[in-house]
Formats: sequence, structure tokens, C-alpha cells
Amino acid sequence: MLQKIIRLSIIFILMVMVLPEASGQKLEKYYTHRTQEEGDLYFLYPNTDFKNSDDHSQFAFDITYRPDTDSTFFNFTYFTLQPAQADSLLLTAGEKHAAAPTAKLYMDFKKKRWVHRYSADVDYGELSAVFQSATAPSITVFTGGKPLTFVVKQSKWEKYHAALEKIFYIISENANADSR
Amino acid sequence: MKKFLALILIAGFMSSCAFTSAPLMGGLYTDIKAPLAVTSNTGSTKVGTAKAASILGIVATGDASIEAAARSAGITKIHHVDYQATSIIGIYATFTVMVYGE
Repeated sequence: MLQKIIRLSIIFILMVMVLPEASGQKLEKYYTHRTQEEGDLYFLYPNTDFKNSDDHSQFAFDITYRPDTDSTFFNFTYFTLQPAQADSLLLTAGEKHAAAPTAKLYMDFKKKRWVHRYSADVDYGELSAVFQSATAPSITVFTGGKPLTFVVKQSKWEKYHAALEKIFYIISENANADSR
Repeated sequence: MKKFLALILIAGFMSSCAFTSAPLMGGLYTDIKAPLAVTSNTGSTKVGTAKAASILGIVATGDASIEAAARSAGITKIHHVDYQATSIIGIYATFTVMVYGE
């Protein structure tokens, strides 16, 4: 009897955890869209799927895009054992590339690691081409000539990529609506 | 072992668990976005977020302050602040602050 209750409880918990996901991809989990007087603003929530290919430390990024000014802020955080200031950023997926110089937002020290937070103004066309690639992209941060490469598992990328495709489509359709 | 598992499950259901602050709460599942603050500054070109999380209502960590969210995007003029609260049957809850500004 007790075993049955435990089994049913576990199934119930799993169902509640899985059902919101299974009912379809919730795009609002990935981005938010604001309409304002100065023009639309899209914000893609932080993604933490990318890891350093050497020490598996985390890489987190979020994207803010404003179609009217065509400005794309690619804000990112990485962690190192020694201070490593970023000069530039390179996003690569197959033959598609997007590169930009970086601007420091802040530096900190937490949990025995240096925390680096930077912003890069990446060309939206190049960024969307890289991120719409079905091949998992890699992100390289150049720190004084030394590259730090961050990669993502293909399975994780496929899930994120499916959401990104829809988001980029929404952005392009809304831009068309604005111009009509 | 079975008794131990049962105890954990019962404790989980009976305790207040990992719930989060929100205008509306779902006992099983919560995923709410709501406003937190608004200022007289106009327009926003940047968005910053900061997050805190709780597991089973036993451990809660993170810096979900407006300051941390604004700092994450280099925002010095805040336009408005929203938040997002999520909770999954009291096992895992998050509280995310989103600061819009320039």
C-alpha cells in the first residue's frame, strides 16, 4: 500500500513537472517583447547552456534587440580562475560568423572565481544567421589574444534553436507589420 | 528505505515548501509575471535580469535585487521593473527581477 502511494506520488510529481513543457514549447520562457513609444524592444532571457570547453565553467548570455535602431546588445558573463579581460567576441556556427568588440559592464570575484560581465553590439543579421543554424554554435571570447571557447551540447541547442527560430520569425513579421 | 522516502514525500507536501512571491499563486504550478516598480524616466533600450531560487523551501539563494539586475545590463536610468515568479509544486521556485532602462 505504502509502495503504491510512493509510486503514485512520484508519477504525480513528474507529471506536474513535465506537463507544462509537454503541452508545447512556451516561447514566453525564452523571450519578452515590449512595445514602446521609442520602438519595439525584444529581450531574450539569459541562456546558461554554454560551457567552457576546457574547465566546463559556465557562460551566460542574454540578448536585447531594438529593430528601429537595429541595435543588438549581446550581454554575457564568464568565469575564470585568473582575471581575463575580454577584447572581442566571436560567434561561429559552421560557415556563419558574427564578431564584435566587447565593452566591460563590471568585474567581480565570487566563489573563488573572477566574474566578467561584458556587452557586445553584434550585427543582428549576423547574430540571427549564427543562431538560426541547426548546428550548435560555439562562442569564443578573446582575452588578450587568448581565446576562451564555450560550447553547447547538441541536444540542448536543438531545444533552444527551435525556440529561437520562432522568435526570429516573430521579430521579422512584426517588423513587416510596422513598415506597412 | 520506503519509510524514509514516504517521510520525505509527506514532509514535502506538508511543509510550506518552495513558494515564491506573486500576486496569484498556484499550489501545483505558478508562472506569473507582474509589475514591481515604475519611474518617470522615459524609454528603455536595455534590459537586465537578476534571479534567486529556492529548493523545497529549505535552501534559497541568489541576488534578485534591482541593483543586480540593473548592473547586469549597465542600466543607470531605470524606466520600470517587472518580476517573474515560478514555482513547481513547492519543490523548486524562482524569483526573477527584470529591470528596463537605459
